[in-house]
Amino acid sequence: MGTPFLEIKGLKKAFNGRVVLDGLDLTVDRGSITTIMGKSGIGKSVLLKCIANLIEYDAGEILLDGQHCIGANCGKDSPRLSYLFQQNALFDSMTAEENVAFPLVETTRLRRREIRRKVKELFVQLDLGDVAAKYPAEMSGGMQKRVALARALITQPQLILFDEPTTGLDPQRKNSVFTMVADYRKRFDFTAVMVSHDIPEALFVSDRVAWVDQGHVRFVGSPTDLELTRDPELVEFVHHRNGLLSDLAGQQSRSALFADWPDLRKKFDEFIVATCVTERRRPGSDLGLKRFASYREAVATTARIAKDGSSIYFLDERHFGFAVKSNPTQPSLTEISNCLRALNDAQPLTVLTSYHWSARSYRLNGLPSPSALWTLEDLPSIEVGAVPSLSA
Amino acid sequence: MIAATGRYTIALVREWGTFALFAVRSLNSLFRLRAFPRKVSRAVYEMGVRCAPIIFTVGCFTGLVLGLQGYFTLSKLGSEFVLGSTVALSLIRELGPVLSALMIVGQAGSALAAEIGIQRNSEQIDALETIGVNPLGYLVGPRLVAALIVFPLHTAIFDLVGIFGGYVSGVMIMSMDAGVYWQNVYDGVDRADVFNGFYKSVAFGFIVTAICAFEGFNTHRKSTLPGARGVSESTTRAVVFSSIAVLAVDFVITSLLG
Repeated sequence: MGTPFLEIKGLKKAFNGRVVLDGLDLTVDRGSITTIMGKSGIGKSVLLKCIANLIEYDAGEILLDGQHCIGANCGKDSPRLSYLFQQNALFDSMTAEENVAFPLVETTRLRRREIRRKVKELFVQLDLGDVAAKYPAEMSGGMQKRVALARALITQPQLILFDEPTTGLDPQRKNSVFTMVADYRKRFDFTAVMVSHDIPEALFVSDRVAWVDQGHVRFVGSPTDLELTRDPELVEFVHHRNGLLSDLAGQQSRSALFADWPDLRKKFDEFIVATCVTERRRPGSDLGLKRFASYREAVATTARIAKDGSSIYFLDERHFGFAVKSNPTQPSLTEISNCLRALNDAQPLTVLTSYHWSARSYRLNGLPSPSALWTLEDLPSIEVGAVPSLSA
Repeated sequence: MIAATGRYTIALVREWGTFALFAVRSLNSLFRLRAFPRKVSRAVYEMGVRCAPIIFTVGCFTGLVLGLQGYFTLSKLGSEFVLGSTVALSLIRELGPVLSALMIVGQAGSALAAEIGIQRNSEQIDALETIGVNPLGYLVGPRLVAALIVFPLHTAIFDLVGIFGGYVSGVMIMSMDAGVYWQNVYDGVDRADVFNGFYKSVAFGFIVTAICAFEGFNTHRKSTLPGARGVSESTTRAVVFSSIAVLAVDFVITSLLG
C-alpha cells in the first residue's frame, strides 16, 4: 500500500481549555470517500477546518500528499483543496455564475472568455443552466448545494471537504446530494472527506468510515466493518433508529441488556428470542411502519408470558427477548410460540407483505455475553412458503 | 481590584496590538491583490456615492448655523465683518474633517461593519480562504485605499458647501456685504489650514475604515451573541469606537499641528 493522500498525526485542538481533538490520527487514501461520523459537538467540523487550515491546531501535523502546507497562500505546487460548507457559503451578492467563476477570476490568470467557457461547461455537466443568472437567495437549498459544489469543482481540486452536505435537505434531496458526490467523484477524480450524520445513506457512498469520539478516532474501517462492529456504543449510534423503536415498543434497550446480563445469568436459566421474518408476495418494501406495528403487537402479546421472567429487551428491529426460569410443567417457549402462532394466523391473507413470528430458547449458561445473540440465524426476508416452522 | 485592572489593561493592549496587525496586514495584502484599480474604484464609488447626499446636506446646515451663530456673536463685539474667515476656518480646520468623518462613519462605516460581519457569520470569509483569496486583501485593503481618497474629497465638499451656507446666512439673511464675506474668507484661510484639514481627513479615513472592518471581521470573536444580534453588536461597537477615535485623533493632530 502506498503513502496515504491525507495523513493526520496526533492532532490536538482545545478551545478555552476544552479539549476537542486529543491526538487524533487518521489517514485517507487517494480517490476515496471517507465519512467522518460522531455525535454532535465532538469536533468533526473542527477537524475539517484544521485540514483546510481555517483553524490553527495546537499540536500534531497534517500532510496532504506529503506536504505540510494546505489551503490558501501555500504556493502553486501545493495540492488543491476545496471546502463545501454546511450552509454552502455562497457569496450572496453574486449570481450563481459569478460564484462559480470567482475562484478562477481571483486565483488564475485565465482570460475572461476562457473562464466563461469553463463555467458554462461545468454548468452543463452539473445541469445548472437555468440558475446561472440567479442569486443564492433565489435558489432552492438543493440548487444552492449544487452551485456550491460547482464552485468547489471549478479549480479541479484534489481534495474536497464536505461539511454535513445534506443539512436541512428533505430525504429526496439528501439522496440526490449523496448520489451527486459519488457520481462526481468518479467523473472528476477527487478525494473526499465528508462529515455526515446520515446513516445509512452516507455509508452507501463511502469507501471508509471513521467514528470520532472524545477527540480520537475510535473506529475506522469500511461501512461493512461498521455494520459488523460489536462496540455497543457504536452499534447504538449506527442503529440509532432502534433506540426509538425500543422506546416506542416499551422495552429495555440493548445497553440495558448488556448491563443486566450478569444478573440475568444468575437469576434465570433460559433466554427466549422472538424473531420476525418478512414474507413478501411482490418485490418492494414499505417504510417499516407495518412491521413496527406487528412488532409492537408481538411485544404486547408476549408481555403477559414474560411477567414472571425478566424485562423484555430490544435486540434489533426484528428481534426481542427475555430471560425465564426453566419450568418443565409449563414451558415458556411453548406458550410464547402459541401466542405468536395466533398472531401470525390473525394476519389477513390478502396483504402483500406479512410478518411471521417465531421463538427460540437459548440456555443462558451457554451464552457468555449478549453479543452471542446477534449471531443467531437471521433471515431478514424470504419467499412465501419458506417460512421456518416455530421451534417448540 | 489591582488584578482586574491589570487584566483589563493587558486585554486592551492585546486588542490594540491585534488591531494594528490587522491594519498592517490589510495594507500589506494589497501588494498581491488582483485587479487592484477595479476593486478600489468600486469601493470609492460605493463609499463616495453612498455618503455624498448626507455630506452635502449636513455641510449645508452646518454652514447656515455657523453663519447665523457667528454673526450674532461677532456683531456683539462689532466684528461681524470677520464672519467669512470665522466660518471658513472653523469648517476647514475642524468641523469639516470631523463632521464629515462622523457622517461617513454613520453611513458607510456601519454598513461596512455589518457587511463583513454577515460574511463572517455565513462562512463567506472562510470560503474566500479555502478558495485561496486573502480575505483582508479582498474585503478590507481596497476599502482602506478608497477611504484615503473619499474622506478628503468629502471633507472638501463639506467645507465648500458649509462656506456657501455661511454666505447664505451672513449675506442673504443677515444682509452682510458679499464682497466683505468672500474677501474675508480669502484673507483668513491659508495653505496650512487647508493641509491641516487634509491631514485630519486622511487620518480619519484610515482609522474609521480600519476600525469598522476590524469589528466586522472579528464579529464571531468579539460579540457576546452569535448571529444577527452579534452583527448588530459589532456594528454598534464599530460606530461608537470610530466616533471616539475621530475625536481623539482630532485632538492629537490639532495639538501637534497647531
